Amino acid sequence: MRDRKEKWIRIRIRLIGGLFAFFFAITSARAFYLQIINKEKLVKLAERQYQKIVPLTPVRGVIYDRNNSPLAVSIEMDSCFAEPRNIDDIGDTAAKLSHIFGSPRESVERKLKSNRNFVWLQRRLPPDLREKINGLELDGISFVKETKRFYPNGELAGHVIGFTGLDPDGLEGVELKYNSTILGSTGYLVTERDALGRDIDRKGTVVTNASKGHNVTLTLDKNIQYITEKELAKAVTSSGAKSGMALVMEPQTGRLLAMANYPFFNPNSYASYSPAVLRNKTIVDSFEPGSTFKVFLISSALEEKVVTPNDSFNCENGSYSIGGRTIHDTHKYGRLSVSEILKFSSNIGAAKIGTMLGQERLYSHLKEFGFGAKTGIDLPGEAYGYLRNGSQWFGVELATISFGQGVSATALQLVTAISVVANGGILMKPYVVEKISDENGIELQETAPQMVRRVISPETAAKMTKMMEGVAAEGGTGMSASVEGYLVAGKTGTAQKVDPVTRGYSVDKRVASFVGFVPADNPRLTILVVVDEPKTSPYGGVVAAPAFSAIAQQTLCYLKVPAEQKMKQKPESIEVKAPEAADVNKAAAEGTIDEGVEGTVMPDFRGMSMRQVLQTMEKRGLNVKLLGSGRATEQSPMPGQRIGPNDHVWVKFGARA
Amino acid sequence: MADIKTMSNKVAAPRQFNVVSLNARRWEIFPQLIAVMVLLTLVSIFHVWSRVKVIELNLQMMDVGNQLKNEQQEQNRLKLEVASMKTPVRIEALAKGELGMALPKEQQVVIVK
Repeated sequence: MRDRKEKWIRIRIRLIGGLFAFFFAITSARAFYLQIINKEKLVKLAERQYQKIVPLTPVRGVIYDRNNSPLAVSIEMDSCFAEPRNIDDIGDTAAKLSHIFGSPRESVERKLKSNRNFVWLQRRLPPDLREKINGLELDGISFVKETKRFYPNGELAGHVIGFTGLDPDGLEGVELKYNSTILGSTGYLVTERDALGRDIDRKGTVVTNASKGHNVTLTLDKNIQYITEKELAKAVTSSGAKSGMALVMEPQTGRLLAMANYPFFNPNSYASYSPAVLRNKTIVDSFEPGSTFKVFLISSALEEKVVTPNDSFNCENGSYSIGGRTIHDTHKYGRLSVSEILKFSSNIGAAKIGTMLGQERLYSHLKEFGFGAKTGIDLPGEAYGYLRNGSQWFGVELATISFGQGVSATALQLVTAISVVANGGILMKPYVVEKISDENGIELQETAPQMVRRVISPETAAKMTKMMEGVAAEGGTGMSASVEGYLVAGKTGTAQKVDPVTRGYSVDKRVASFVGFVPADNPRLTILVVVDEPKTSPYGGVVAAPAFSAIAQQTLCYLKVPAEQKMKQKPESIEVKAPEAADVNKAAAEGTIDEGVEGTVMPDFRGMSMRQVLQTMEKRGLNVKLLGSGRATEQSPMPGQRIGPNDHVWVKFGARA
Repeated sequence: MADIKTMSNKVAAPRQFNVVSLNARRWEIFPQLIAVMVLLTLVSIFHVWSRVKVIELNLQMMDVGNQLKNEQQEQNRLKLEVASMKTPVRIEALAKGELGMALPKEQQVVIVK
């Protein structure tokens, strides 16, 4: 009896022990499975629950001009979105939001009633609107940060800077060419969150792969760019032309100080312009250079010692038949020296020099000047221009190419080639990006001026410069390009345009240009002005040369280049529209107009840009108070009304509706 | 019976003695036990408090961080505003329109070498 009982106890002990051992084994096996075999998967699962991963949109670096003035900056802005499922009272929310957005209630309500989980309400809100919406404490309405690119100078250098799309990728200009440099890489911010979704544990914040974009400093100077754009716009509008281009370069280095295309566009609202306006025509379009090409012909002939500046040619009284075609000069000339051929821009003289030089030699020299090849500038979409192989020139071609017909070049190629004469014979590679630096301002890369090749000897360059001085001197075709106090060397150009319909030269369409450098004896600037299809006069000397002169004068003054010649005239007194002494305070506060313009009719400024208003003011001698920025929206007095001496004249600017 | 006696002698009697001595020892170590428990509780409370404090401070740091970021953004916005105020076209408009200034002509510029 006792034995049986004892035995039973032992069995029970073993049974229970076995059971415990069994459960322990199961638990161990499970623990092994969870902790070792499935560890990775489970750790990830857990992390997903308490970790928050925020994708960081790449931030674009800043684009500066050479004086470190920002030309393109990125600002983080709040975009407002709704999660319709979390909204209790759609009607009320829509009413409140539509009031803030200033949009119709129905459209907001339609968005909120959509069956999507996520709806954009307004992207890139101004901070004050964000505060207002925040103050309403609406359920289901949230914000997310997005960056927006701003171009604080508006139209200034828009064609060079380019622009970016909605996603932060560059689409044009420097923004496109240097996209990978300017754009930082997309990173992820990893934080831990608590049960309420709040971020905790900053220590553990990890940012992976994110880097801020680099800053780019351009060679452009904001002020020179402005001067160039202003004078170009004046030249184009006053001549009733279709468009225009202007370039300012440092001849010794190839640095571009200004690059302008007219009509301008504002990169802040690039979508409202036609694609044709967005093109940087100075590098992507080529045109027949016309007479400016004679500089390269004569340089080549001097370099090859085929002619000297004093050799004379019979200019056939303005009409010369060659290879079945007759070449005409604008004026009839008899014998002209090589210098005079350049000064009076004789096509017949140029054709004869070309014939003496021969097509092979002319072709090889033109190639050396950089025609028919890309200059290698650091901007996208550069064109080659058109220069047929010298061995394929037929009949009259040698003669026509000698005065710039039958070849095409970009404005940039032209200004780079003229810089060869300016700097003593060296072809420099043009560039627009001076340096690249990181977000802390540490320089990462600097562009050094790059010499491509020697094209002509310094002696030839000096002779050529002397001859080009004649063009802007008394009696030359480019007289109006002269700048008081400085010697200007340049060349006018008037080229016929090809008519796309007839495929021949157009009867009335011309490209007028002036290219040159100043001061001639120690050139600081090479400037090119091209006016496309001017209506008032087809000649470069009439249409483009005055713009050259104005750009040169103001830029030399801005760069503090001392005048090297004595002023020919006595200082003129200029009319400064200063208010009368007694009325100073009143005038400063309210803006008045001069006595001299009493009775002037108020023009219609509405819809004009500030630049256009400024031009009109200058033309009419008005003194108007300008308020705000953007496009002119309101004005006083109304258009057509006479302006009295004590009228308050103002123009209000605002965002375009 | 003899067997049972033997058993009680061998097993029951010593067990009774052990229980009594154990009880006595239990009362002896009770204060220490309490002390350990109190200490453990205090340590646990301190640990929980410190964790809560850490989380609280982290939240505060996040807030300050966000505030800093917002202020930096505000600064960037203001810098942008300054840049757009400094555009040459605006400056020329103000100079000519409000201040009655004009660009100098060639003869009026004297550059001091």
